[in-house]
Amino acid sequence: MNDITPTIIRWSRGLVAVSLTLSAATLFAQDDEVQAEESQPTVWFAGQEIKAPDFEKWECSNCTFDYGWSGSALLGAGYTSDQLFEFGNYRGLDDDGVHANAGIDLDFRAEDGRHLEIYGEDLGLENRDLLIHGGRQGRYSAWLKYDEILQLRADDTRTPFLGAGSRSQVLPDDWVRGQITGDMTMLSTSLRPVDIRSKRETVALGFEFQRESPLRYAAEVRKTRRDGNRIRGGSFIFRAVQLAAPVRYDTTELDASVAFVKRSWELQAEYQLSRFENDSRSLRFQNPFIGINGASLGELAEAPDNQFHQVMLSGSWRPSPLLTLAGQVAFGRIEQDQALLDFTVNPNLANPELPRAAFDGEVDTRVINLRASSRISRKLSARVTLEYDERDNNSSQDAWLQVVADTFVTEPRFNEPLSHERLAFGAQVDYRALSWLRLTAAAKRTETERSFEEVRNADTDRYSLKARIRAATKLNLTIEGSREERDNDLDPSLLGPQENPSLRRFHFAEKDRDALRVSADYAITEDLAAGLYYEYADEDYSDTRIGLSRAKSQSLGLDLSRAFGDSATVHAWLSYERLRATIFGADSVVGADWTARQNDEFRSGGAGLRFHRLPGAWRQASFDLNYSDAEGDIRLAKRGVFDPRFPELQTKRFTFEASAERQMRENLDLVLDYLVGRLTEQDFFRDGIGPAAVPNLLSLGEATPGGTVHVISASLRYRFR
Amino acid sequence: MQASSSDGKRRIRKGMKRSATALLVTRLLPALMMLIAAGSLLAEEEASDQLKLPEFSRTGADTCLRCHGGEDDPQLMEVLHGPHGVVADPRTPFGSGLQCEACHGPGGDHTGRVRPGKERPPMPAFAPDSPLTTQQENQVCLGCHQGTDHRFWEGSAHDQDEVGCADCHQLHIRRDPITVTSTQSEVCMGCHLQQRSQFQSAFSHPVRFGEMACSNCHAPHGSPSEAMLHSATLNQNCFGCHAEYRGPFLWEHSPVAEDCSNCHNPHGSNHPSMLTRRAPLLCQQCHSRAGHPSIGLTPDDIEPDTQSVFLLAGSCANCHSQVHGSNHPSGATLNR
Repeated sequence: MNDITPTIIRWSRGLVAVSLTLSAATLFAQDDEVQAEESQPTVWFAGQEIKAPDFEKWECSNCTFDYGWSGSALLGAGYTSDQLFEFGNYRGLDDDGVHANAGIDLDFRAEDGRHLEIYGEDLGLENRDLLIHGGRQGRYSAWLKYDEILQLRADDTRTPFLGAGSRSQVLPDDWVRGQITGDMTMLSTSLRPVDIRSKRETVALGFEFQRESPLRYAAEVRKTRRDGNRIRGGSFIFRAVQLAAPVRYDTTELDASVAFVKRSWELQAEYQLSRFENDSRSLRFQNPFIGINGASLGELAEAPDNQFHQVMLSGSWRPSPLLTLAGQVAFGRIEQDQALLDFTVNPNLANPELPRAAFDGEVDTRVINLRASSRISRKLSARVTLEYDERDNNSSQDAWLQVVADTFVTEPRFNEPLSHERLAFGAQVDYRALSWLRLTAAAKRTETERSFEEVRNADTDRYSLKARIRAATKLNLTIEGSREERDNDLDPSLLGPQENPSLRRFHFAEKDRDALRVSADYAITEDLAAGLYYEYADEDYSDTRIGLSRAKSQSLGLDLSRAFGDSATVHAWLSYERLRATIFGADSVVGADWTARQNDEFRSGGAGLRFHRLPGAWRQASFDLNYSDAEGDIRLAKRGVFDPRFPELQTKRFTFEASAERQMRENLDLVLDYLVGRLTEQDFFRDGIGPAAVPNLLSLGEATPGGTVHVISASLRYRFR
Repeated sequence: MQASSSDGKRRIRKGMKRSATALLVTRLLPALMMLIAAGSLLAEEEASDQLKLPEFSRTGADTCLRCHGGEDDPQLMEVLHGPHGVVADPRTPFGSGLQCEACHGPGGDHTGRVRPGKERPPMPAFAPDSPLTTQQENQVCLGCHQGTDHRFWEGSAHDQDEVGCADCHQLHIRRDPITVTSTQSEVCMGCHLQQRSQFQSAFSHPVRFGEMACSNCHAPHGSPSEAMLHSATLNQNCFGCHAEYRGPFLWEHSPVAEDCSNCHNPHGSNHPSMLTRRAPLLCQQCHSRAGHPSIGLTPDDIEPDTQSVFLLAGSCANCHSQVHGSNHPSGATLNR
């Protein structure tokens, strides 16, 4: 033992020494390897760092970078066969006849990254758009946008008022007032046409600036002018007149922001300003009826000037690859202090001094939206959200004498500056149970508190379960069911005098809502795909005896698309939607009970064919067909009513568009377009309601539109590079 | 209804603060802490779950252009004429040097020798049969397109539904249709079939005319507010274009001040002004005072008589035209 032990000990010490040396060497070598790896150039791809290529061989000698100008310009003419406001609405086609057709798509690129693009559509019509955008990529950019939207409502409307569309509307000197429209003997000869239309023009100027730092600066100013008129009703105690009221609105908006952007987090501070100005403070109109208490003039208050400021802080943070926090916090203030009108313009009635000269309206808004999302593992992810929205109305509150319709004085009323607070907390868990099955469970609770309402607090709980199923290699199904329950602390005594105590206002009434949605996407072949969806929702306001009691909706749709290589694509779609509602009422609280049922059905479909490549000189062509058919059915059953069904509301619309381009010369193409639209409509609310049709309503006589319009155009497009 | 507004507001604030604090302390904070802990602890698992990527190609784009971008697919060269092809910008694929493989991934396997009878391996990303998942492909794009517009992508509805950047965007094209107002909605409605149908309604925002795009209201890259709206709340979104209804008015209409979608369907409806229902029934859902507001009007009232002023033409709005609120001192009933 004495001879062996020293040997073993020596060998052991030696082994330990060698092991230690080797370990150290290995560690150093690994460290060298790590350092060697660390010193090798790397690049990022899909969120991970990988070894970079040998860039010396990457010359891109076959890359054809084009610098300078390129693009196209389009110029031509179109012809519209008929004037039909509803057809021309939003299309800029407010008249029949010839119109210009122009467009531009220009691009300039310089080798140092400077660029400029000019893009414009429908430049010859009253819904033209133009964008000029340029800068130096990666450093700064600026843009100028101009956009028009033309709204055409009716061109068959008539009025006896002089100054229709202005803020002061008077009747002709020889006007004969009557108790009813039938007694207005000068009505038919005094009627003159007034189109109901308006146009919205927006100009936006903005810039974005980014130096080689994480800071980014951006600002945009937008000014929108809406000019035209709209239909407004003016009343004199159960006798009313429809007016072409002026629309002269200017809205100026400013968005300015500075953002600090890093790889795993970013923060943006933004200031938003929106200022609304109305050229008209009021609309005065003469009474065409024989006025009570000498009410010969009425005055409507127009929308007051207002402004909104908001400061918002938003951002996201990714502390680990598996967790993302995102959110926004915004504090805003809405102000309105327009000088108030008098209580009445009727000199025969009391018109005391106002409690204050201007409203002094002020609403503070606070919004917090927070979200935390985590990919806990490859199979499991979760998300929690917090949403807070407060409207804190600090506007003045006073007692205001009420002069009803400039006709008689009644009790003063206090105005009610409405406030609300809403807090919602949601959580969602997503679990990939199997390779073909992914389940998502979600829950959300919303608590809302309101002022000046019969319901102070309303709580809504929503639960949902969704399954995403890969039923086959190319077939994906999604099934989602949800349930929502809302409770409240209704105090019927707060409903107000003369209100039916059984009334439950639907937007905070107790309700249960069940919904189901099923959708499928099927890639039948590589070139053929289909989509299908079905959705059903049932809202039951079980506590409601007066008001909206039930609302159901069903919709389903089918979509098919097929590609023929890269030379053509075809698609077709069909959809159906049905909305039903049941509303309960009672005449004057204790009178006859009634039940109204409204049933809307809507069917729509379309098909399209696009040729991206054509033989010969034809370059491309497209054909699109759209059809929609809507029906509205209203029934009101009441004691003693023989037939509770109203005439059906109907809208049928059909449009077909065709476009083709043919190369005429190397840089010149001929573009041909054809559009046909056919519309038929039945609406008992408007049909046959001429200015004198209703004894106590002097209407504008708007009728339902209908007709067929053809539009053809031929243009030349010059392309260059 | 008269009440002391200041008492009411104090009560509301106290109650809500208690409720908000309780909610934060008892539910949100613990959930958040658990998520952070789980995320941090499991980061190591993620570290080992790395993509297995091949080497890069030998000569980059020159390798790719031997087969692609010729007469059969000249449109691919459009990427060189757009923002991704700006050499002077080091952030771009052709500025950073990675060229085609900046997006499509290392192409060593795809461009290398292929044994007879074997299939050529696909590029890692944005190609038929690419091995990267949609979310991994999205990370390719987000690697450069971080910040501002994309800061809310993670956890957004599109992210959760595994929508890929390439599902909506096209790069090998002169002008990406989704960036143009008049063509954007066609791209969105490829998935949002129900909304395509709704915009065909008799009354809708002018999306089907190309005058508005889905992104005028929605932030498709994600937003923490409901329905991925641009603004912090739905009403703020609407007031961007309809500022005349912002108020505050002397006499307010409570469903308006709270939520425009109480009465309107912004995607379209077959009733004027995109209302969910026609007046008077729309109004009688909430108004049933003794007198004319509560009277159920029947088809007999279509025959023009004194009752039909409550039904025909503008119905309730023939008199109560200030339905969004009134600033007239005598406007309590919204008819002045």
